[in-house]
Amino acid sequence: MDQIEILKKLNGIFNQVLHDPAIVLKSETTASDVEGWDSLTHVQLIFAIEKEFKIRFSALEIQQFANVGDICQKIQERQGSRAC
Amino acid sequence: MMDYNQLLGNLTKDFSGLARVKIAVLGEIPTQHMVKATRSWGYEAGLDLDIFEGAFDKIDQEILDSSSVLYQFKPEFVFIFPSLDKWKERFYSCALSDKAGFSDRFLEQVRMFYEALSKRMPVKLVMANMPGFDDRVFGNYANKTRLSWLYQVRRINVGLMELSQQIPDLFINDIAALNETRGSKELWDVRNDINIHMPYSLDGISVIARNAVDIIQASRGHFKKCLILDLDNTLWGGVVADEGLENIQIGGLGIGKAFSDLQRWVKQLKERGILLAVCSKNDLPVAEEPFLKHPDMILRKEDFVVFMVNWDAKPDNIHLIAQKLNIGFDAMVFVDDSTFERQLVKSHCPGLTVVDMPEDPSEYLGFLQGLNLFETSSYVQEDRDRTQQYQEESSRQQARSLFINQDDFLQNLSMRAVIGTLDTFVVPRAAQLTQRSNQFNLRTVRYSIQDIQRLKDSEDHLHFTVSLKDKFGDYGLIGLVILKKMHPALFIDTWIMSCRVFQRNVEHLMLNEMANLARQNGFDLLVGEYCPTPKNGIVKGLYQQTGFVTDGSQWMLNVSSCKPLNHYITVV
Amino acid sequence: MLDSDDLNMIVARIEAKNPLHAKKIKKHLKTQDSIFFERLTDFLGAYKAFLKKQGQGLSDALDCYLRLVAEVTLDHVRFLETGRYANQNFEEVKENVYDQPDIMDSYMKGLLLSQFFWRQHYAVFSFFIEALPSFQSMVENYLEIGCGHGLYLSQALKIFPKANIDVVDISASSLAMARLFTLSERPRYIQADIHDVQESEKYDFITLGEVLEHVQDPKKILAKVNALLKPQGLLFVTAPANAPAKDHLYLFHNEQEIKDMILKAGLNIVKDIHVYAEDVDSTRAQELKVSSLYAALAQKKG
Repeated sequence: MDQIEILKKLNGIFNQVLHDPAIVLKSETTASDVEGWDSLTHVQLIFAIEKEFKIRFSALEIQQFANVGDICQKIQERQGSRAC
Repeated sequence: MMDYNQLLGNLTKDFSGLARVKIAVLGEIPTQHMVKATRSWGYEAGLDLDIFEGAFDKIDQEILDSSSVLYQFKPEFVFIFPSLDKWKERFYSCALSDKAGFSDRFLEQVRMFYEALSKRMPVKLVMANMPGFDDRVFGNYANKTRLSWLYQVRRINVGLMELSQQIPDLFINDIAALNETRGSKELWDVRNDINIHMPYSLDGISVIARNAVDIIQASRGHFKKCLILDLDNTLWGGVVADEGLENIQIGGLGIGKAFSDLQRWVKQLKERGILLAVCSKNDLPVAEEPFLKHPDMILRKEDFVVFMVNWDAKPDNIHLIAQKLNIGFDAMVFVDDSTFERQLVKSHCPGLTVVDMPEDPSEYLGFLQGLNLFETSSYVQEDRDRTQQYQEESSRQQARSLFINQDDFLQNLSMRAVIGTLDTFVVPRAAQLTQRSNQFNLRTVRYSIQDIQRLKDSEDHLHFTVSLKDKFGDYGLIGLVILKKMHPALFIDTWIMSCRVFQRNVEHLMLNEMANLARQNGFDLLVGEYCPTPKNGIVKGLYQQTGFVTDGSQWMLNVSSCKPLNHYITVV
Repeated sequence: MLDSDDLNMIVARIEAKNPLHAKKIKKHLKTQDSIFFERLTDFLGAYKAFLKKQGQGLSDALDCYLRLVAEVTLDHVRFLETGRYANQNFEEVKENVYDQPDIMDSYMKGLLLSQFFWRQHYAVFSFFIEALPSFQSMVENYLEIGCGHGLYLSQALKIFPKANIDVVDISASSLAMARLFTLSERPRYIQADIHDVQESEKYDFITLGEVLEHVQDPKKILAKVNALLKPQGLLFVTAPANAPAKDHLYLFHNEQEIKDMILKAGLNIVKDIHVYAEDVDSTRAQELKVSSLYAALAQKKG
C-alpha cells in the first residue's frame, strides 16, 4: 500500500475514533493540531490502527510518533511495501 | 464482545429512560478508559450509569476523608482498581522481615476501606483482585517460600475470597479469573503501561468493564433463571432419530467428550439453582431415550423442569416455557446449534438471550463460560432445591385439575404458614427475595444482606416473614413485609411475595398480619404506595381490592375498622 | 433549583420520617420557578427568626409539620369512610383546639410550612401576593379575619404600607403568634368573635382566609363580611373542599358550593382559582374526593 492510501485510511480511523468527520490529516499534522488527540485517545487510535492494518508497534514507537507522516511511514515499513 | 472503539459509540446514544445507578470508580491506575467502557456496557445492559471518577491514585484520600466528594456523591457501588506495579514496588521495597506479612497488610487495607465506606453510607465495595503473574525471581521455587511475590499475590486472592464471604457487601471483580481464561496477551498491554501507566489493553478494558457491569446487574436482581437447551448436536453429537441411540456422540465416542463436558457443566448450573428446560424438534420417545437409557448421559430427565419435545415452532414452545415457569424472557438463555432456529427465536422472543454458538462443538463449553451468563448476587439453600420446587408445583397443578372450583382446591391443599421474624439465618434469603422478586413487589426496593441486617435491628421498623408448606411440599420463605413507623401510620416499605405462591390468597394472610401488627403497636393506619414497573402489573389493583382508599397519591387502610380477609391457610 | 442548606435539611428530614411525603414534596419543588425559591428563602429567614425567639429551630417546626401531615392522612381516611367531617360543633373545636395553646402552636407551625410545600396552599398564597398590589392606592382600611399563623398578614403589611390594618381572631394564641411572626405592632389585634364586631367601621379590603370551613354557619360570616365592606370593597376569600381537619366543621363538596355561597352573599367574583392537593386530573380528583382549595377575589356590589 502506498503512503497516500495509508494516509486516507488513517484519516478515516481518526474521524471514527475521535468522532469528528471534519478532521483532515496531512503529513505534517501533529497532536496539537487535532482537537481530541491526547495521550488517552492516542491509545485508542493506536489500537484501531493496529487492528486495521494488522500490525504491531513497539512501546517506544508509540511514544515517539512526531506527526501523522511518521505514523504512515511506520505503517508502510511494517507492511513491507514500497511506494512505486 | 464489543471492542473499545465500538463501545465508545454507545456514549452518545440516548440514555433517557434507562435505570439510573450511581457508581464510583477509584483507581491507582488511570481510569478514564475504564469509566468510558463501563458506562457503555451499562448502556448495553439497560443502565444509565452515573459515574464518579476519583482523582488518580488518591484512593486513600477519597475513602478516608469524610468530606470528600465521594461521600457527597453517594454511590451505590464503589469499584477499586489497584495497580499491580505499585503493589509490586511496595513488596520489593519491603525489608525481608516484612515481606511475609505483605498479603495480610493488603487485606487489612481492603477491610479498612470497606469499614470507612460503610460507616458513612450504604454501599457495595467491588474490589479488583490481582492476576498471579510470577516475576520468576524464584522460578518454580516461588511456591515453596512465603517470601515470593507469587505466594503473596495468591494469598491475597484467596484472602479476598474469604473476606468477601465474611462481608456480604464486598464483591470481587475477578480479574485473575478473566486473566486465566482469556490469557494475559488479551487483557494486558505493556506498551500502555509504559506510555500512560494504564496496564490493560483496550480489549482488556472492554472485558473488565463488562465484568463490572455483570456484578452491578446481578446485585440489582437482573439475572438468568433458566437455560433452554436443544438436544441434537447441542447436548450430544449427531441426530438421535437418524443415527440411533448407540451412535450419538457422548462420552468416549467421537468428539463425545465435548458434549459430556457441556452436560456436566449444565448439571452444575442446575445444582446452583438454574432451571433447565429442553426445547427440541423430535418425537418424544426418541428424544427421551438417551436420558433414560444411554449410560454416558450425565443429564437425566429429572434434571429438567420442562421437557418440550414436539414439532411446533420453537418460539411458540419457548413462550409456553416462559408461561409455565412464570419468568420473563430476560431471565432466560437459549442454546441451540442451529442458526436458523436461533434467528427465528431471536425475532419472536424479545429480551431472550440467544447464544450465537461457535461452529465447533469442542468450543461450546469455553464459549458459554466466557459469556458469564449466570452471574448472581446470592446463593442460599432455596437455590439448590429450585428444580425440585418446580416439580412439586407441577404436581399441584395436576391436582388442581381434579377440583371443580378454586376454593375446594385451596382447602384441600392443607396449607400451613409460619409467620416469623428476620433472624440471622433468614436474612440472606430475605435479601434475596427483595433482589429477585419482580412481580408481586409493591415498591421494588432492593436490599442487600447488610441492608436487611440494619432493618431487622431498626427501632423505626416492624417486619415479618412468611414461610409456607402444603401437602405437596415446602415452599420455604415466600413472603416479606417491612413496615416503617410513621405515627399514626405504618408505612408499607416492602411487601413481597414469591410468584410460586400466587393465587393461594397468601397476600390476604399477610395483610391481616399487617393490620394485627398495626393495632398491637398503636397505629391507626396502614399506608401503602404502588410504584409501577414493567413487571409488577399484577399488584396494580391490590390496594384497591383489599379495601384501601386513596387520596390520589397514597393508599390508606383504617386498621381499627378493617375486616380480616379470607384465606384457607392455617397459621402455625 | 436553589440549593440551600435549609431546604436540603428539610427535605432530608422529611424523607427520613415520611418517605412518601418526601417524594411528593420533591416532585412539587421540581415544578417551581425561581420566584418560588426567592419567596421561600425570604420566608425561611423570617420563620427561623421567629422560631429562634422561642428557642427553637427549623427541625422543631418540621416535627410540627410532620405531625400535621400524619393527622391529615388519618383524618382523610376517616372522611372517605364516613363522607363527613369528624367535628360538628364549634364550641367543641374551640375548647379542644383554639383555646389549647400547645395544640395551636404545633398546628400553626406546621401550617406555615404547608404554605410552601402543599401545592394548593402555595398556589393560593401566590394568587394573594400577586393580586393585592394593584389595589394599593385604594386600600385605606384593611381587615383580616382569622389571621392564623400570620403569613398573609405579613404580606398585607408589606403591600399596604399606609393602610390601617385590623386583625380579628377568636383565638388569643393565634393573635399572639401572628404578632410574633410579623414582628409588627402596626395592626390593631382584636380578640373577638367577628359577629360581635360593630359595623360602624367599614373596610376597603377584607381577607377571609380559610375561615368558612371553621364555622357551623359560613353564610352568616359572609353576610357579616358583606356588611363590613364599603360599597365596591374587596374580599379575598379562600376555603377548602373535601379537607377534613381537627378544626374543620363545614364540608364543602366542591368549588361550586363555595362559589355559590359567595355569590348568594351579594358579592361578584372578580377572579378565582381552584387547586387540588394532588397532581391528578380533575375527573380523577373529583372521583376520589381529593382535597382542594378555592380562592376568590370578590367585590361588594355598590
